[in-house]
Amino acid sequence: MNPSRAKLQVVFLPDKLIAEVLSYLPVKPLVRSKSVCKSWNSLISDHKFGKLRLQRSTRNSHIVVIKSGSDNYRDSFVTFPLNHLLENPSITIASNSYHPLKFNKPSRIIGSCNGLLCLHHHTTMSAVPKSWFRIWNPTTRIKSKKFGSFYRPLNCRLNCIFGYDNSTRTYKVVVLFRNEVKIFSLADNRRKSLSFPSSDLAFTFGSSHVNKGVYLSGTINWSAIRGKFSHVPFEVSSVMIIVRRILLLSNL
Amino acid sequence: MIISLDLGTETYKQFQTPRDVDEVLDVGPTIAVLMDCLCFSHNLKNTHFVIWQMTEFGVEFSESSSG
Repeated sequence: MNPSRAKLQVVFLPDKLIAEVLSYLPVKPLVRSKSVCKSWNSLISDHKFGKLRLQRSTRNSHIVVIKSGSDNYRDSFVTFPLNHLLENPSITIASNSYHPLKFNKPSRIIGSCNGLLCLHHHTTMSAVPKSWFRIWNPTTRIKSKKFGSFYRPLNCRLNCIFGYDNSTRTYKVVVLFRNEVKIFSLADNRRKSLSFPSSDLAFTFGSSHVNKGVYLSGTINWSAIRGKFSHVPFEVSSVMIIVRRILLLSNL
Repeated sequence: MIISLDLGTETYKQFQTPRDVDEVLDVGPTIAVLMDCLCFSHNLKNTHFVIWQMTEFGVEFSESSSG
């Protein structure tokens, strides 16, 4: 082959191989790589690529520390790798290091799953506030469409838990209020109402007899205790910053 | 008891909490996920902190630490 012909040869890499290489990039250069060309942009934005990244990052879990705003609806957050906690017995987070959620409507972080955060937004200018959910990637700042719109009764304590349904591969939010359980699904914006699983009045969701639920591999779990006890929330009130909730974020 | 909602079938299951935990509690228990297992923890007589771990989902809890 003569040298001038060799120069014209185009190196062809299959998409699968490009994805494999890109999946090892840190977040910032990865986001920048989306501007290289259309095919890289669609490749990086694809959900299969997200899944590949998630597999890579299971050993790189991050903690999200959430600080609630004054009205309980304007959260700010800070993230750091989980191993910082193991290496340092004590970590101080400066109050100015929290990132406020910059959305038009007041937003709360209700949970994390597969490296994504679930946000709960609501309107402020109405007697019966309308609320809805969005799923947000805190790293790429990409957000999902709205889902699960409903009118939130005033003075009603809501208990929202975010999870992933492995069987239908969709994200769901379970909302408990009064004696009702509502399941909202991102994929088809479907909702389903269930009644409370027990007729025992002591086990009313929202009461101190039932804990806030936790997500574990396709299930939401609550502990319900019969009997009288004083409920002590896990909250340290003597420090300057009151950390309300801490979540584990696996993909950053 | 533990009430578990399957997000796929959208149905409940109920599991018993370890032993007769209801009777010994003086402070509300906590449910959490540790090491990919459901864990149930509570104070005992203000001197002990007990963590129970459900090593296999839906199978009885095993006591993983105490004291």
